[in-house]
Amino acid sequence: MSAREGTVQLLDPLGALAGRPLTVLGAVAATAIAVVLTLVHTGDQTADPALAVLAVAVSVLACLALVVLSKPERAPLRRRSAAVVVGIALVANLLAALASWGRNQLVSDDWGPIVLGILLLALSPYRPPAETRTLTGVAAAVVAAITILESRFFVTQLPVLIFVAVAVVPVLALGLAGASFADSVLRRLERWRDRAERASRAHAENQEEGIVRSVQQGRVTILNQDVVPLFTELLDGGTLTGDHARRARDVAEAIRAVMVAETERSWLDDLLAPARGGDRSAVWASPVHDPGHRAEGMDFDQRSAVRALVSALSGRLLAADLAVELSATGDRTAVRLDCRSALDAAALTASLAPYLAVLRAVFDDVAVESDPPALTLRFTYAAN
Amino acid sequence: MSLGLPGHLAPRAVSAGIARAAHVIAAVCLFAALVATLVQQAVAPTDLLWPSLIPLAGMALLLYAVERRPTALNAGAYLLLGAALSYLFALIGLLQVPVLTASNAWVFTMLKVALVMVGAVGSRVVGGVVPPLAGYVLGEVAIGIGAIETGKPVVLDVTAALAALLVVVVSAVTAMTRRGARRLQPALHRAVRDERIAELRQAAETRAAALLHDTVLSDLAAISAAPRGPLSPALASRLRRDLETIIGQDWSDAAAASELPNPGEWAASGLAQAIEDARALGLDVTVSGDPASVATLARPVDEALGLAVRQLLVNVHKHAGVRAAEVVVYAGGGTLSVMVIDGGRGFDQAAVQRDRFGLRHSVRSRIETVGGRVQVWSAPGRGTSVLVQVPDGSPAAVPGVPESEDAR
Repeated sequence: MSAREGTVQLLDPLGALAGRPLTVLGAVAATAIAVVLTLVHTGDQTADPALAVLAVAVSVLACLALVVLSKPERAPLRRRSAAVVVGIALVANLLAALASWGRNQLVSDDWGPIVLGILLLALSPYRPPAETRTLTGVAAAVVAAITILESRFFVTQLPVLIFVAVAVVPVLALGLAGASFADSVLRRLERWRDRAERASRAHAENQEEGIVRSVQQGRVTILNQDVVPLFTELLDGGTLTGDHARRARDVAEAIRAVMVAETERSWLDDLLAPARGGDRSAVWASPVHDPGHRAEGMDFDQRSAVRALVSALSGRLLAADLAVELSATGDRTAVRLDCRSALDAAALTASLAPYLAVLRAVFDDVAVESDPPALTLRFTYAAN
Repeated sequence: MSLGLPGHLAPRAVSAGIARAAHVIAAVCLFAALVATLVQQAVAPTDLLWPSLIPLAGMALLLYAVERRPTALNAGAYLLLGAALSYLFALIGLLQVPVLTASNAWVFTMLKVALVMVGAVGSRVVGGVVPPLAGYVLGEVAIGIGAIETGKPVVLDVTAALAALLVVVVSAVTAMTRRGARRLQPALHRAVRDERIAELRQAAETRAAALLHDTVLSDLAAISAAPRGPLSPALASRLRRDLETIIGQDWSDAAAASELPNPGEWAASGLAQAIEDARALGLDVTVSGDPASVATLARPVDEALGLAVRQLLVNVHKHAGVRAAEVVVYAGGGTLSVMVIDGGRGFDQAAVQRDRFGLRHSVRSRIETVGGRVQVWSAPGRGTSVLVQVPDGSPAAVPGVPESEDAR
């Protein structure tokens, strides 16, 4: 994935997942408002009942599109999806205006702008604030244009500008409110991130000395067995024999083999098989199949997400036989993670949902296949 | 690290966001009321409408205060004074504008909604639900009184009621749902911390592997190649020094940097030692250019450069099939460049396995760790040139490391 968009959904995936019920509620409320106000207007303000029904149907379609496109399984919601939802709602607005053409008496009881406003508000956690503001501006302009065309039919004698204000207020108020919500959450996120970054770095630095020491200890252990005795013997004796030369070759060979094995190993191997004990000498069977060393291409966030997933799988999700395969697909890397989980399908889906939300924020094409007890996760990322 | 807010901060961030959104709605409503008032005054210049701008301005100021500091006091002031100002606004409008026939006229709805959008106080559910409901009731009552006093009907304002419902539902649902999805946030932040530790470990492993590779392995190679009999003084001193490095020293660069003084002069530099070691192997090394400029290098850079060049010269000795190599040193533009050139058999860069650790660990990783870069030019039969560039003591470092050949 290239640069991540500045949306609440991508930068705080769990927050967006928590807010998902509100998206659905927004869609339901918008539908209810369209239906109720259309029923209220039947008779006096409706010119073409068939068009009125069509307008409501199209607005329901916009609401459905919002619910479907914002599904966690389809995350992240892209610009095109947002444009589709708003576009359909604008068509509904136009149809509603045509349905009451010549008979519309009041702007303030039209449902079109309210539905548009609610949809813009509901979309705001999924899109960057600037984009929500732009969409709001476009929607308000269309609503204003429709209102100007309709204004000659209105019963009250008022300047057109007031009708336009009445019509665009729901769109502007709700749309701009959504953008400000996202802006505010993202700003806090950024502030917190800077602080957390410093704290985490400080924590890591505190650990650094211990890490270096333990790495050194591991190496010295190997060397103490063979290399140190050989060097000491040579320095003490001052004479080099054929036996020394042969031992030097053998030890070099062994060290070389270990180093080649280490070069082959990536952070992913270390993550999936942490408990190897002191056995560093042999090339061990890894559950990671990554011949192209593609795991190194993941960025920090992606590695963290995989780390969280793997520790959850082997912990609370009771998974066993974890295996990961990385392969090239075009200029991207495809990851396939297989395991068996002891949880039943429903429990697994519920437990996995937040992890998937995080994966979808940092990877593309995330897919899950569950065939109990087998579980397969797939995702891709741009190879560096 | 951008995987979301921690559980204890998320509720505050979300309720602050909702409050901000509410204030934006209030501002748009007040602005719409302002526009309507100005337009009406413009088309009916004889009406005495302009005084109603005063209550609008007052509400805008109160809104600004509650947005800046969303305390209970500011919210209370906005609600109570705002209701009083709404009453004044309604009174003027109902007396002066014939179109305003009831308490639920659109422009009054704007003020009621503005009162509803007072925003949450604190991050508890009660603080999110009570203020908007209070705003709705106060707005209806204040404007209702205005209508009664002017003899106009009081009608329930559906839009304002729906606005209050919107805020209440958003606050309540947010509070209900946040706990469930957030429960894995601690695990996520733990993973982030682990990843940072793993990065450090990886770096330490790389340093250790490189050190092991070009001290121990090349010593072992020297032992197996040396003539039988008495140990040569050069080899003996080298073994003694490396033995000390292996067991005596803390391998972290940081420790090395703080404990040892800057090399200062050519003879004490890592590069000079590397060249001496190569000469001890029997390689004829010519040094040209400006070797004294290594004195400007920071200690860790000097060390990394010395070990990298030592490995390059060992490579010449082992693979090139010639007995001579040239080392050219030059400085400039914040960079110290060292070129190691041999006229040996060279190699096909595409054919050499990428993961061989000689050049990769001992040269490239090591130089990249100190902010430098390595470039290799070679072809079969045409010799090999390796350019190592490191930042010299000045703050301007070498720009990004290009993805280039990797060999031997």
